[in-house]
This record gives sequence, structure tokens and C-alpha cells, in this order.
Amino acid sequence: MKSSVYVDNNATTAVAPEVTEAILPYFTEHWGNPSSMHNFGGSVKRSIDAAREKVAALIGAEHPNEIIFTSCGSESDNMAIRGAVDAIGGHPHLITTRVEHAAVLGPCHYLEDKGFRLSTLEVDEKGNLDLEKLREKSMSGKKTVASVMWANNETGVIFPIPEIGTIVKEGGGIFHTDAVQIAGKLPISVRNIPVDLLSISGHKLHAPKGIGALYARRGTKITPHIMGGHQERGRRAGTENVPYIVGLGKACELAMERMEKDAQHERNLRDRLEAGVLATCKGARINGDLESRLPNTTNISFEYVEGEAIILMLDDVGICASTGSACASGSLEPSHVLRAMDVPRSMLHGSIRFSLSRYNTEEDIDDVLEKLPVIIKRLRELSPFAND
Amino acid sequence: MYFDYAATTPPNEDVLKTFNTVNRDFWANPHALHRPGMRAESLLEQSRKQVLSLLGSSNEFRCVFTSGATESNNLAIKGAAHAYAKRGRHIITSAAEHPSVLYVCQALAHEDFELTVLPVNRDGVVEPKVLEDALRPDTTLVSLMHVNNETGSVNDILRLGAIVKEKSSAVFHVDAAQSVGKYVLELDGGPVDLLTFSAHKFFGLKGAGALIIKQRMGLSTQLHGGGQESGLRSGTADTARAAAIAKALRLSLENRAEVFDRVQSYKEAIAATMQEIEGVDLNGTLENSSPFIINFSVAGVRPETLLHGLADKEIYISTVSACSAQKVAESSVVLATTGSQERARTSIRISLSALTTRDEIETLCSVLGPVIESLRFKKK
Repeated sequence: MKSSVYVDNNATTAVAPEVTEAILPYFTEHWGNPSSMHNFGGSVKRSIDAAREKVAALIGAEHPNEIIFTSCGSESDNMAIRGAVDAIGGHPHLITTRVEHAAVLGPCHYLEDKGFRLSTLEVDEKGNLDLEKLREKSMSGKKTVASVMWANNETGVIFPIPEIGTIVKEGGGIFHTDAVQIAGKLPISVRNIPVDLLSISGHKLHAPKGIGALYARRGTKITPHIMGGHQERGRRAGTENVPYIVGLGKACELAMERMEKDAQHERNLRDRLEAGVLATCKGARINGDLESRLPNTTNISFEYVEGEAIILMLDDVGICASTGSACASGSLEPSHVLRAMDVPRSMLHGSIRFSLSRYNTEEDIDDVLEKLPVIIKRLRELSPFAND
Repeated sequence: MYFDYAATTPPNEDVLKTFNTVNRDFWANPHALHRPGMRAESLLEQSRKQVLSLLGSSNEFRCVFTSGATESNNLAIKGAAHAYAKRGRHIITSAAEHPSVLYVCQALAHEDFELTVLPVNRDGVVEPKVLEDALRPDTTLVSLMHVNNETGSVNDILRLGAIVKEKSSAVFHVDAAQSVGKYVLELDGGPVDLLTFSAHKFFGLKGAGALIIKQRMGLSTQLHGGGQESGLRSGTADTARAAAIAKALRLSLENRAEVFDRVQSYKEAIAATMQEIEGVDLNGTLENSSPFIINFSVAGVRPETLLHGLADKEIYISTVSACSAQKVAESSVVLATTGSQERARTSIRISLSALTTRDEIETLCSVLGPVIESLRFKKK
């Protein structure tokens, strides 16, 4: 993969070399079971605690034991939603949005099928929520569990989580946010904002796949999703995945140290990419609120062409991008996020997401800018709908 | 000197090499459309096939990768109980199961499922007749372990499974966390519907396991989302982890027979030594158990004291399963096996692996007696 240009970092990222280095001793030397009573495992336990502190620091959690390690972002989302609903008991009212990740919509729809009331909030063309609608739903009189993502994986649009959390809490609800895409990219803190539960995923911030975390504010009750041993203070059973936990800790530390620099670097590259595409490709437009967006993400629609065709042709010339979420990319359905934003039909199918990381270079962008316009032009010539 | 391999094992060097190579060259999201994604996907599918073939399945099963045995057990039990709830709400397990089976079954008992917990005999195994008598027309799930993680007792899975299939329409789940990589399993044509294992028990990585599922069998998913792993387990699949599982399993099975015999002789040596120490009782039997695990009760010494006394000599053993180590004072498995609370409170576990050497066993055997004696003496 070295020779290719990888601009699909919202799907997954390369593990940072510093993270790999931090992980390796936990495979070769400190491989004990941290739950064992002897010291062989005991010293490993301290490394887990150190990693927990680093994850807590990245999101501004006050107490490290508010961090529960999980096997991935999807597990964190499932555990947060189903765990909170189960712990409340009865039939709380669920609130979410149309643009959430499948790992949030999945458990919400599952619960809806079981007879729970689910309110799914709409977004406008820029991908923003109507907070008054949220207020209305939160005040419905019933206990609510609301799950609203912090930043969107397809468009990068950032929701005003401090305000959203305040509204949900005013209604007495439990508030979960899927922060998988924003964590490590922009500063976030749960310290002064009313978030009860927050999901993060390792492989979106240069840690390995197969590790995630759920922040659960002290006092927030959640029923464990995976039961068995007493690990993670009885909230998540299973032998701790020590190397990956250490890796997640290191990745969080690294992200924190480099955040300002990385964000600026990604923003510069992203803006250059967008300006270049708009200048060279006819019928292109950027989707989502340009004012409130992740620095690394751009979602661009090209009129009258198929997104999948663009991806495959880009792939032929060594450029890895995507149409939207990798989780759904097996299907040919247009993105549920873009549909929710009422992207015009002529553009809906021709949308591409470029997502950058600290490892992208100006040459990567030049390469995309050299090859993309040619591909778009060729596809347009083939399109029965294009006029020119 | 480490004698706690039932808790976890160090990753094999070649497994680590595979893991590192895949992470370096195939780290793309296997669900992505571009070539690096497709290459990762093809490797993921190849790993799946290899795991199945190593477990004796060519076409009757599929393999769902999970974060470990605990998740696999949760998915198997909750997944099957809920998927077949319309047919019946009676589930069966045994008193000697791992907490990730027992607690999940107990949780189901709280949500209007009916649970029968079978006793085990003095060998630590479920007797076929006891299982047969417990089966009912509304039994939908039987979950029994292959090798016990504390005593090493081996359930006759083929016989028990045959009874399940003959006398009921229940799904048969086997927690094989302590036997995969050590025993030859022939899944195709057998009575097992669901099989759990975890790679870190056979020199693979932690956070890596699988649930093997009979083709066309429905399970109610526990992780909703992107629909990965045929919709049974959402979450971005970890290609490196999958490839490492396949590699670890292949390597473990390659020299399995030689390891099995060698470790069996070690276990016999330990048992012979222990028999000579007064007030030491073997929990379970020597015949009907795995060579890799041996469990004793040592009268008059608190197991933690013994554990620390041995740790002072850099010998690491354990008391109960690591999954319960910090919570309970007595072993529920030893209690179920011996019926004696005293023995359950004084039990220790010694577990071996391919890495255990004869020298280590000799040292262990020479140290056990004196350490136990000196601890007893101190107490007086």
C-alpha cells in the first residue's frame, strides 16, 4: 500500500509507528493476564491503568475509571444505547438523528422493533439539526435516551454537542454521543458539558482495529453488554486486550500532543484539495456545513456520474477514497446521510469522501488533483444524463 | 517459571510476524471498495476458511470473528436463546461452566427464560443420563464446555451432543476455549452447532476469538451496525487479528500430538509429587482430564498464601480462573466437582503448555512440598 495515495482515513487509519512500538513489548514480554493474582499479571494491570488515564485525558474525563475498554466503536455504541435503555428499565423514549453511523441506528432500530418509541431527527441541506425539534422531543414527558453523533463520518459536519447535551439533560434524559470521528482530530472535553456516554474507536486515530472505549460519566447506569468475568469493574467481561489497550492509550497521547499541528496540516491539504477540485471539475459541489466541519474530511458530489465508478477508477490509478461509510459500501443504495441532507438526485449518486490524516502530503493532493478531473471528464462523456 | 497457561499464553513469534506483516501491508478497511480494501477482505476470508478447515469443517459451518471467547459465549447463548424463544424458553448448562457462560445463562433466567444448571460428578463432568433427564420439548439451548478451565475435566462432547440431538431439537453450544489448539475437533458431521474459542489460550493474541456457527443457523445478533460478519457481529473486521488466529491455530495443531503426550507425562509427575504431600487432594481425576490443567486442594493453607509463597520463588500458578480471581474466595467449579466448601476454598490450579519444560517441572515438584510444609508450619 506504500505506493498508493490513501485518502480514506475516516474508514480506517494506518497504525502509527509510535503506537506499534508501544504495543510490541506487550506481546513479547508483558503478556500476562492482568486479572491473574500473581505479579506476572499484576504489573500489566498498571499499564492498563496508564492507558486509561491517557484516554481519559484526550476527552477530558475527570476520572480514569469512567473509561471502559471495548472491542470497537460499534460495541461502544451498542453498549451505550442498549445498556442505558436496559438500566433505566420500562420503555424510555429514544431520540437519534437520520445521519448517525449504522452502529447507532442499528441498536435504535432493534429497540424500535421491540416496541420502543424512536424519534429520528431530520437535518437540513447543510447537515445541521433543528435544536428546537430536539427540545420538543426531549420534553415529551417520558424518560429519554438520546444518541447524537459529535462529527459525521461521511461529511465531517460537527454537531453542537454542548447545546444538544444541555437540551437533553433539561428534559431529564441520558445523553450519548458517538465521538468516533472527532476524537483525536479536534479538542473535545466532557468536563463542562453534559455528556453521559461517549464512544471512541481506536482504528480511526492510528491505533489498531479491534479496540475502542466507552466513556460513562460517574453515576450513569448501564447494564453490561458482554457478561462473564469481573473485568472493567464488572462493566465489560473478557480478558483485557492489553496490547491494544496500551496502543489506544499511546494513540490518544500522540493525538493530543500533535492535535493542533495535525489539524492545521489536514485543513490546509483539504482546503487545497477542495479548491483544486472546484476549479477543475465542472458540476462539483461540497456537501455539508463548511463552517462547522472536521478539518480532514470533504464530501464532494459530481453531477451525473456514479460514485462507485469514480472510486474504482481512482483505485486503478492508486488512489483510495470512498463513497461514504465503508460499513455500507457493499450496497449500491445512495448514502443515507446525503439523502437526509436532500442532496439533489443528479448529484446523490456521484458523491465521494476524501478523508485525510497526518500522514498525507502535498504530493498526495497534487496526485488526486491531477487524476480526478480526467476521470470525472471521462465518466461524464459516458453519462446519458450529462449535457456536455 | 510460569504455570498459568490456562489464563493466557505468550503470543508465538511467527504469529506476531504474521500480525505485523498484515498490519503493515493489509491494514485497509476490508469493507472498502478500493483494491487495498479488497485485498484485506480476501485475506480475511482466507483466514476464515483456514480456521474452519483446521477445526474439521469444509462446508457445514461458518466462522464469525469476535473479540474473544467471552464475546463468543455471549453471542452464542443470548443469540440462540432469543432466536429460538418462540419455540421454547428452557436452556441447560452445567455448574462447572466459565463465568461468561454461567452469568449469561443466569441473566437470561432473569428475563423469563427457564434455566437448568446440571451438576457435575466427582470427575468434574456432566453425566449423559443427567443431561438426558433434563432435556424437555421446550429446551432450545444446551451449553456445555469441552475442557474445564479450572480442573481440566473433559466432557464427552460427542456423546452428550448425540443425546441433545437425539432427544431434543435444542441447539448445542460448546465452549472450547481450553481445548481448541490442543484437541482434534471434527466439526462436520458432529453434533455441535456452536463452538467458542479464544486465540490467546493457544499462543495467539488477546482480543481475538471466534464463534463457529452451523450454516444457515439463525442467531439474534448482539452487535448491531454495519452488518459485518454476515450481519452477526457488526464492527470493522480486523484482518491482522484474523490472520493471526489462523496462524496460531495451525501452528498449535502442527505438533499437537507430541506436545499432548509430553505434557501428559508432566502432569503425571506433578500428581505423583502432590500425592505424597499430606492433606493434598486432586480435584477431578487424572484419567478423564486434559493434561494441560491440574487442580489440587491443599488443606490448611490459604491458596493466596501458597500462590505468593511460590511467586517468591518466581513460580506463577493461580487459584481460580483469572476471570473470577479478584472477586470470589472459593472456586465454584471445585465446589461443584467435590461438593466440599473446604476444598473449594483451598484449591490451586497449575496449568501447562507446549512451552513447559522438564526442568521446570522438576523444579516445581521439588519446591511444592517444602513450600507447603513451611507455610503450614508458619501458621502454627
